[in-house]
Amino acid sequence: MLEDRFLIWRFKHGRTDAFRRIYEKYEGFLLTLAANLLGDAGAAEDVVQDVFISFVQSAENFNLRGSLKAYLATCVANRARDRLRKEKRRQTVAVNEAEQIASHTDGPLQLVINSEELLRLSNALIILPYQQLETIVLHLHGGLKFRQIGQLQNVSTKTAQSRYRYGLDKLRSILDGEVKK
Amino acid sequence: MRPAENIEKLIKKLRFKPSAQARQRMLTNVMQALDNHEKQKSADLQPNIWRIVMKTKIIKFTVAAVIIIAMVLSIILLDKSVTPAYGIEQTIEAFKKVNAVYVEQIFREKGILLNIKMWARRGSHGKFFFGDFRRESGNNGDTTVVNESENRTYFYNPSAKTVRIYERLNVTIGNFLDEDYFLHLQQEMENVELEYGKDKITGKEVVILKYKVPIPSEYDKSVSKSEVITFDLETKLPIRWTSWDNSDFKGEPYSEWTLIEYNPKLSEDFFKFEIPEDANVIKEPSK
Repeated sequence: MLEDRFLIWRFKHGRTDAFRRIYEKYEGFLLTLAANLLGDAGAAEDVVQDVFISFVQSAENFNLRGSLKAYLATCVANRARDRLRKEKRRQTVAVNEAEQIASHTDGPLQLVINSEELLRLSNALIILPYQQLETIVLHLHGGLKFRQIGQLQNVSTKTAQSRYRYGLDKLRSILDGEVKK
Repeated sequence: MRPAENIEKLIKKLRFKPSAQARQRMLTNVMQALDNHEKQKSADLQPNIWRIVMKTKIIKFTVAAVIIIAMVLSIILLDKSVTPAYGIEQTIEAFKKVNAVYVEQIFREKGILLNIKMWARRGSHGKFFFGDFRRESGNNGDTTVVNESENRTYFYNPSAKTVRIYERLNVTIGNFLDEDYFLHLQQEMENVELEYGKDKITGKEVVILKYKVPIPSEYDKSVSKSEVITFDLETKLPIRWTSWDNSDFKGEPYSEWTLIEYNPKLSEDFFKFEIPEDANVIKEPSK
């Protein structure tokens, strides 16, 4: 965390190498976060790229209050939600107009899945209601506390905790149900 | 029913590994955005630096002084740079408003220096070449008058008290003042040098045209082989005209037009020659 503050300070004073260090430090983490939220590799890359570009453009006025990791994770979550909202609108329009619109999913998500269990888990995550998925991903991958997730989702900490719990239960039932089959 | 902890551990294992190309593409785009931002920031910073600098009084006065000096210098340089470039066509144009000239000439012939005054008026054909012309020698009073309307030329020799009359136009101020000559000069620019400066006599801004006349060296001495014409940059008209009989502007010139006045007031009968009562008139054959 101290390192992040030092890197931000250096970057604000014109050191592009400091930004490069931030990018390299969090790029992978943010991509995983975005990919799990969106279920789409291309979309995840776009979102993370946009987050970094936005960070560059607002660095002069940027004041880090918590951790940089949490801040960037929140940015990714916000952009991912915006993107999904737009995609949903697009898909709705397409259905209404009976048009064929190419899916935003360009290809299989390149998650590092080395077991059948993880593959099933990945498929199950996509089925979850988005708010539950977001809570689980932000908490487990983003390291955000339920208080932070609640603020992000504009709900209480308890609601965030409940969404997390419901999400996990649902996942468990999905996975167990599949196993039962 | 699997425990929640197990699912949490599994979820944490779901990591995304982008392709090397995708990572490179992202990095390039982000660093490009950073580069653009830095450039924009640098451009935006300039006025801020200026504002900070201008907050200090001493710097403010220094900057003001520098600006004033720069302005003065630029005015001086601008003044120099706006000196109109001379073109011969400007002289041709200026001569269109000239109908008569008065010239004072120093002529050197066989070691004798003659002070000559000449007047010329544009002829009916629109040229000075064989228009009305009068020449008076300050040394001996020899006078030559050419009257275009009479188609006569008078040579008066006061020493011999003779007036020779030719029923034709024998003498001319030359073609120097006509368009043809300057058009010829335009064609001769490879033999012409132009110098800009101030005239030592009048102090006027002038352009000095140096012309090496490309004529064979065996020509008569009285034929110009090199010339210097001084043009007034304001009027574009020649104010002095000097001719040498060598091609290198060497030695004393054989002819100097030391004064050229344009459009002098001349009476109608200025080119009408009055034969002196005691002169012997000799009518020369027409051919």
